[in-house]
Amino acid sequence: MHMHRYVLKRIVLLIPVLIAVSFIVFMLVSLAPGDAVTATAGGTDLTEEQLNELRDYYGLNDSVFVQYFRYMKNFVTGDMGYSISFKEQVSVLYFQRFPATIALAFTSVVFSVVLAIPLGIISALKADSLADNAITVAALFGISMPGFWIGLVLILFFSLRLGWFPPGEFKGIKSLILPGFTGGIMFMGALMRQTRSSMLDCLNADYLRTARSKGVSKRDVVTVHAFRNALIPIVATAGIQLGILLGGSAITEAVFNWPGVGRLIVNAINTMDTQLICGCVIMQTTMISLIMLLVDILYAFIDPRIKAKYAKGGRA
Amino acid sequence: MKKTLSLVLCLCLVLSLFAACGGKTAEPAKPADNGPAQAPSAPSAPGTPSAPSEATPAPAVSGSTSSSGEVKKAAEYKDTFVIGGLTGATGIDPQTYSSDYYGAQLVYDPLLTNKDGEFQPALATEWEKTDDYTYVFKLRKDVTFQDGSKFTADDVVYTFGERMLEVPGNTTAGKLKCIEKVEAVDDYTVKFTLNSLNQDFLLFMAQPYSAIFSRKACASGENGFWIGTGPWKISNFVPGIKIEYERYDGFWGELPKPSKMAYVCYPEDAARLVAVQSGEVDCALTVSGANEEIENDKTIRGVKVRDVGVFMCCFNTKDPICGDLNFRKAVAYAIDYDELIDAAGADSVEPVSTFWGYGSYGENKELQGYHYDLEKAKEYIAQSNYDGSTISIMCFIPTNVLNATVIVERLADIGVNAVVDERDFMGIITNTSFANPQHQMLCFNSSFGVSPDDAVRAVFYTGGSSNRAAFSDPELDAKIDAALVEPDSAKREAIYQEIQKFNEDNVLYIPLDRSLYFCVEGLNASGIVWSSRNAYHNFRYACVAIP
Repeated sequence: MHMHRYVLKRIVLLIPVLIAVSFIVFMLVSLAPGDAVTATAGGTDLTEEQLNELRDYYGLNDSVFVQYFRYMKNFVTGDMGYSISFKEQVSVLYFQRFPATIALAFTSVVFSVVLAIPLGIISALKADSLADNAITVAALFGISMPGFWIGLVLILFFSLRLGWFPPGEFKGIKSLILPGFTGGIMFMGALMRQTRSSMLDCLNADYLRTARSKGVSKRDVVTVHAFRNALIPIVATAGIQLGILLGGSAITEAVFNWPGVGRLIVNAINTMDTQLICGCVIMQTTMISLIMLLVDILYAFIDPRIKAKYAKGGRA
Repeated sequence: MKKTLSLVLCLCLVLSLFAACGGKTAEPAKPADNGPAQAPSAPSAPGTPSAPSEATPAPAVSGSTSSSGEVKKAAEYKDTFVIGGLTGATGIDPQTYSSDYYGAQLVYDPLLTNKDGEFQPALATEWEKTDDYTYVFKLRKDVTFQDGSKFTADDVVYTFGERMLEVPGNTTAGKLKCIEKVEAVDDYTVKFTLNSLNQDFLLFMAQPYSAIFSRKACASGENGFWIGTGPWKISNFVPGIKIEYERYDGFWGELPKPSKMAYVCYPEDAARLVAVQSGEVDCALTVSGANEEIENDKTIRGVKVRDVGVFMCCFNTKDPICGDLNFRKAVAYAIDYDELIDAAGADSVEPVSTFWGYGSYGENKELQGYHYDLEKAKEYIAQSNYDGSTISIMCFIPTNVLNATVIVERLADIGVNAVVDERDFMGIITNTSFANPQHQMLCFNSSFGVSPDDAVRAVFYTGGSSNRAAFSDPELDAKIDAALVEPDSAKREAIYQEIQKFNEDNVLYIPLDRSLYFCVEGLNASGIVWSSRNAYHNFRYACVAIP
């Protein structure tokens, strides 16, 4: 019951966040020089008069506040706006690409988690050993290497040389591997370091020393006691990564010709397409907020202490 | 066990580095043949073309068509031809989207086509200029739209009449301002009445943006304008990502070999190239930064294309310093043009002497262009009103930034302080327009217009859409107007040559170099017509023979 109230409260709090984000983004884009009409039809054979007519048609000659309130009024009725550069509803454009973004985001997180957590645990268990150093180098590599470089290396090796995976496009499971791995490896480093750090904290905790002295097997100490307690920061990091990835990863999408939201946002920015930018940013903010809410809820299942707090009506 | 895992991980990292650095052993590719273009099959019956004074499309450096030549009848072909594009199409409608016309040429037909400077029949079989202001077109009677409806004169009336008014942001309407009235004389005859003389009218009628739409289809629904009379019908469109086509078997001309076609956007050059190398796509547009690899790879064929436009440096003539002719001449002589070419790479650009589109009608071949002469540059700068202030050179995209950087260094040799002012696309558009010229100098690449009038009007005419020199001269405007209506082709050409000389004398736009770029196709691909106008590559009859 208390949990439900907490979730509801968080959802209600999302509303002012969305309003603030949309207002800031809308104003910043609108106040920058140029507009979508200039970007898409400027330099063509349309005269300045015709361009102005076009601005009138799209309402771009109204004050920026009028434009914003009109946009938000439509937004609350489910109309995410109209893209001038694509001549299409923002909702159509966004949801056309969202499935590919979800697929890429989850695959990337799966790769990131599957690689980072075991390596992080090994690194913690073998702290300061050769293995730990090798894994640390790998983590640094993942964090430091630009995504487009990793992507191109993967394409050259696995697509061109070995022919195992297609170099681009969203065409089924096989096509997910390379972009998913690229997205995953970019986040893997941070997650692995987080896992290592959390595990080291837990492994040195008194209750684990007690468990060991009571004869609990080494395996159980690590997997049941230490890992479970180390999970909270790991889940938080993975959640943030998922939220970011759901907003689209422009670089990975560009390298792998992935039809995701990231490229849509880049296109929108290049063409000063205010409503498209705003629509995408609002959706991205919503995604991150909801993912963070889910992470908070997940805490309760991971950590009985937090669950107990919810049950007593306290805050997590 | 854990130690082994660590070692395996390290090995993987090292292997991936080798994969990136390793080169492919390849023999030098044979130069591309100049096979005949698999051009749209036009009916043999000639029309009654009036002597056109159109701009001739410039040829590619090494063959403007796919080099496999004639497609053998006995051969089998891949069912789907895939084009790897540089940018994703944001729209379908050629009257509204002016960025590229690959899709428009697949789906729609104009009344005429322009092949090597000669008008060919397309949807019109004959055409006649009955007086200076009137053109009459006889239309094909065997044409159906992709929804099965008959093509008639009413569709032409709709396309150049109501549709140009009802579709917001219709850029074709901007180009065809000269049309006063379009009338259907009968079901298969249409009459255009112009409100002003325009020698480029037929040329405009032969452009992809003059494609004919179906009145019935456009009225029937949101995507009715997807319906054309061409051999390819749109089956799926994901804006910015891809367009898929199916062959329309009711097409009036020769049918393409594949039954499906797709245009897929690969924004990264390297990924686009790999997509051709791996067979994922059958050809790729403009692959930059990999000239050597393309030339050495025997599994693909690179087609080197000479861009019709040129990289230029221009001056805002309203600026107190750049408005001074002596200063402009000093800059023109201070630039080391060979150095610009060395900096960009001799296989990426070539020298130019005029801003005119390569091989285009009206080119003044007698111009020598500017050349590096430090002494002359110093003489002119001494006579100029340069006051020691810092001159900013605006630019956008890497080649222009490179040009600006090299120019800044050379200007230092004559005591001019200059800085590179790199902007984004919007920064350039909004700060260098005729109405609001905030720049002093600008390095940019001009895309030479389809017609000579398009080209000069944009850059020289008072208020021209690309008049980055903010230049205004009523006499020059009058010359441009006179050229547009001049019926004598030789006289008209002479006016355009005079305008080029005027530019050279007044140093408004300094032509720096012309871009050479590679398009790539698989060895078995054929039928592609690569154009020097990047937006005009024609894939209508592209196919891949199965060996």
